[in-house]
Amino acid sequence: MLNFVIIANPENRRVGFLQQALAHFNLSPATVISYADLIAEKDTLERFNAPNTIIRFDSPEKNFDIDKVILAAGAEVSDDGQHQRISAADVAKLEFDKGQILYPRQWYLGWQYLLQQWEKQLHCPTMNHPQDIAVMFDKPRCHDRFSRHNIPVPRSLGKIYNYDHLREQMQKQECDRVFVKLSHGSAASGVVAYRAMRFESAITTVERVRENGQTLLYNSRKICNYTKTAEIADIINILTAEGVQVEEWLPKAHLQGCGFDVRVVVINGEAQHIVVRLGKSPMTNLHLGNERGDTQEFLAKVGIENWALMKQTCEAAAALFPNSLYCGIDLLILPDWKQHMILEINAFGDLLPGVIWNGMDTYTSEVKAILE
Amino acid sequence: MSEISPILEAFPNLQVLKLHGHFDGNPCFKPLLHNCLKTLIVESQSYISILGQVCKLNLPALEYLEVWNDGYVGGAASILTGQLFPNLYYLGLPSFENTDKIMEAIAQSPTRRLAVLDLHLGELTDKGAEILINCPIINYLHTLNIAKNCLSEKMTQRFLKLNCQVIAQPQGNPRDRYYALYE
Repeated sequence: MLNFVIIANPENRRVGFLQQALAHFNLSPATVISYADLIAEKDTLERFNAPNTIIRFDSPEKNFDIDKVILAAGAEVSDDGQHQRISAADVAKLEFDKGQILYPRQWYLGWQYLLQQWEKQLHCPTMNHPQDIAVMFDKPRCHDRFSRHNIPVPRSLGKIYNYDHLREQMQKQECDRVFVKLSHGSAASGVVAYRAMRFESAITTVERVRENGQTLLYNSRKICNYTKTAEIADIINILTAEGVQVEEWLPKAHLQGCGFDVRVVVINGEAQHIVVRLGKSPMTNLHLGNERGDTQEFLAKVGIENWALMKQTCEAAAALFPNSLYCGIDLLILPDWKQHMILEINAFGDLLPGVIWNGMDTYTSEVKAILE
Repeated sequence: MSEISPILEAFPNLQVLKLHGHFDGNPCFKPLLHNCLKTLIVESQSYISILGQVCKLNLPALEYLEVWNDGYVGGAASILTGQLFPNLYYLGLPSFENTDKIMEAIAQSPTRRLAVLDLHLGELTDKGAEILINCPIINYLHTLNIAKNCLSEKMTQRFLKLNCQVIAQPQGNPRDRYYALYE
């Protein structure tokens, strides 16, 4: 009898979905370990050493207390970047300000540090290995891994240090529009679609607020279009200091009148659940009020051959993380409906409520793969 | 924790209770009576409305209620129209999801006397604010906190002219802001 252990914020709905999947197979519910307890060292993964135990790390999202302890864990990690730093003592005093982009690089340093500690505690297999998770949260590292293995990805402009450097490289590398993404952000956090032709424009979910002589950045569902150099430079400089992945901004194929991309969940080496994400703006993420596209219409339009090739690409990308049972891949399809690229790989990209493949949701399919 | 009653039953003379953290599963409070509780503060995040659960409690001595991150308009309206918690003088609903809708719900109703109303970090727009500024509850308020909502500069100025203490700055646009997922 398999014993599952899930590490998560217990109030997160992902926990419920896993428990449902386990119940479906008449397995006992997963033991829930809270990130709060694990990070505070009130619990340890070392105690899970019985045979037939498997650990699942799930997303630490949407819990400000946890964000704070992860940030605190990153406070002492040395790094050669220019990112904003905040001491552990000051982190404790932070107040929740919904949507604020807070020290993304320090967050990642803390998250990576914690994953490394937890890896040392492991005495049983995991559904997703802490090392893989750490890499998946680092866009430049993923892009590099994909490139080296001939997985098609948009052209990267390399490490970009600041706004002036960005403009210089865009000119040098003959690229007049780019996506600037926080290296460690997800869900369209800190993403700017930047054009520098005769005039500049930055289309972004980043809301820039000036308060007491400081600039604060927020994630906003309202897409902003900045056109003033001073504003754009300010935003880009703050993001580059935290580490960014800059890629050429490629056109997307259209469906139902919108550009779209596809989230593909690869489970046990097989591309399974998909969601078509329509976007009226360059950002297609669903929580921005974008809609899910019609999957049947998409499949009819892309055709069996092209889709088979695209799935293979996603599976090949997932295979570069051999110790992870599943991942969520963001797939870009170009207007010819044939050329395609991997935009991102998400360690916790399997939250696709209501999406069914072979009669199962993502969690059920993951459990089934383990049982086999 | 999914139930508050064990604490209330174990401590019948308790006057101040503050809860911080998450509620397991679906919180469901027993509708019990507690004669002494004067202050209740709940800082949590839950898919089930905690305010809805709090409204089930019979707390005749309650003077100060603060519930974060909720969105249950019915509960807020019941409290503001005086149907619950007869001795309440401080109501805080910071980071409330549907602030405009609370105003719509109480627009035509008589409202209770409240000394302090705290709606900061909410989603109040000029639409809801127009109702609020014309609402009789304003006449009795000592302090009103509507900072970090979605009010225009013009509307903010109108509030600052009121007789009560008004905290209206800064405004933000939290309605459109989202707490990023970690995928």
